[in-house]
Amino acid sequence: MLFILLASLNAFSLVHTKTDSGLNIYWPSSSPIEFYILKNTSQISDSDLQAMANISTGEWNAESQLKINPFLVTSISGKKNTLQFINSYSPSLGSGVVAVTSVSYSNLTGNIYSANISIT
Amino acid sequence: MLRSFVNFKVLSPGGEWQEESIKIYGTPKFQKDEKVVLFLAKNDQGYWIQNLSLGKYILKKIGSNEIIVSSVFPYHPQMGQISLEKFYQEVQQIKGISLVEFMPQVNDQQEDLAVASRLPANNNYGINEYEEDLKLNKEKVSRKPSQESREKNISVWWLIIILSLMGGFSSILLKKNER
Repeated sequence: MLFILLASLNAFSLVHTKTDSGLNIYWPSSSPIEFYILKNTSQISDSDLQAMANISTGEWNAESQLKINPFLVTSISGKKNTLQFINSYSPSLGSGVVAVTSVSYSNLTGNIYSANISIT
Repeated sequence: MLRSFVNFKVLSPGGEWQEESIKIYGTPKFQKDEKVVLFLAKNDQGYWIQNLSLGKYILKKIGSNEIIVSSVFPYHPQMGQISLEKFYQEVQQIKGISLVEFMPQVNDQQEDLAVASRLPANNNYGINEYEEDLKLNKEKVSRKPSQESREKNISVWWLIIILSLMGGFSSILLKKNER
């Protein structure tokens, strides 16, 4: 028991989000995730948006083994990981909701198809 | 006000389509037979929960008092816990009308607010159970998303010193006993 206490210098934890059937939800590949930031706001300049994206993903990449590469784009097609600015949600989720994070995944395998952040 | 006699559909974003699921973080979760107060807005699809989990309060009974507890901030000094009576009064004050019984299919004049209660009141619910529930609820809402986290180093120097002292004392005692 004492040996275990002495050996437990660092504690690590990994909590997986699970599907309804109990499968782990995970990214299917360990290669860097491409994250597309849609430049659809006039309230933040492209350079500020790029700087914020770099800082945020830099913080994440410093801690996680799974890296994120941000790309600023003017349009998006298909299933991609996106961050976008929207005027309102439809249907309305209420005035207290400023951003929504969603993850799309296979409920058969738990593989993540895409992750999206919408900011009002 | 909707009591246990009527079923109606409550909508929340996210869900499942064929083999694909979409999870929206922050949406409320429900347990079977849970008694809740929900803040809803009606559109042509039905009644939507407002402000994700902020729109869900859990109905608790302490002795003869009923209170509603926020599912997100149960310990918030202003909005965490509200007596049901005070809640009714504030609804009356803010909306100008009091909560009434309604049947969604035939009379849904009360469009933007509904109270749902699904179980008969449990008179045996005491303060201890309530505290336990709050603790459980706190654990649920404070669960971190899937990520790797590194905890702070635990200092073991004190343990090494204590063990050294204990070892020293025990060897002295053993030597004394041998004599």
